[in-house]
Amino acid sequence: MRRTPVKIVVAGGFGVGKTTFVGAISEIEPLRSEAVMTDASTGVDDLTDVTRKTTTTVAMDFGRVGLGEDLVLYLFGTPGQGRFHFMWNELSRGAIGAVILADTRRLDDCFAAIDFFESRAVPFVVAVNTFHGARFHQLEDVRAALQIPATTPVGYCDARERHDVQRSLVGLVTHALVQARTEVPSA
Amino acid sequence: MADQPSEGRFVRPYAITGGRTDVDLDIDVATQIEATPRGVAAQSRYRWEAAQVIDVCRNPVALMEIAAALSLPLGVVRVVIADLEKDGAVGVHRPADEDLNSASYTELLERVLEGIRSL
Repeated sequence: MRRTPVKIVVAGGFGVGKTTFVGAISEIEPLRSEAVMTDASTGVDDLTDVTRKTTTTVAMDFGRVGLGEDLVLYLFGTPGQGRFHFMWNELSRGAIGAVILADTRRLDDCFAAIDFFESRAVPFVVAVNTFHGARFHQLEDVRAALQIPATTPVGYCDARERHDVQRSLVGLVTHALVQARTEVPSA
Repeated sequence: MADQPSEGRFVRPYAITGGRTDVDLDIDVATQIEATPRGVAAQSRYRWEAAQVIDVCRNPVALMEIAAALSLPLGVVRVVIADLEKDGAVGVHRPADEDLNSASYTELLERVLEGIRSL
């Protein structure tokens, strides 16, 4: 039985809950894979904060969800820093889109991800993680702070809660569908 | 497998590939890889890492899953898989061209949406 794989990227800053998000819905314990970044695969500017090493190992966690018999969804939690862009390129190639997890105490952490996906026209939604309990900001304030258009969904998500994660994914795929239909009027 | 050390296990990863990293990058991280009957039959004749790849993908699994299962970097696993594919020992499920046009893409997204809603 051939299953068609589809990908969704889960991006966001360090410690924002990417692996928790993936684990909340994955049918397997999130697995860890590593890729080696060399100075040949990244821009010079991207290495400004890598003082001594010219290679860095990037770990990313991923999970898997079977969607019926012939589809399998992979969720990739990927490091948020700009110097890991090479990995985002790889993961977002052919991906449905990205869920950008945001922590309202550290909104700056998701600017790099937003810039990346926006510039490549990869559909994305912003999920404000309520993992730490409180809802510190109104969603519209978050949208304004992140300077994202009104058409891009922004919602709350407790990354520990399967239902919240499911809702964020539904939001992303719905958004991707709207974008796909806009780009190509149906024949 | 981790408690079955063999000498190959301790080779530096890029020594496995002879330093090559310039392989067919069209194998996406999510591309499904499946061992062929021929690969399974010939498994014992392969070096450690190739034999392990065949073992892990007796049922279709993603490239990324193989890398994680063997604790090898993605780039290394790509090289091993490209070699095994040339041998006919594994099949690489590449998307068909007709799956890439926009009409079938929206249809795919609809199926994904339905699938996630039904979880």
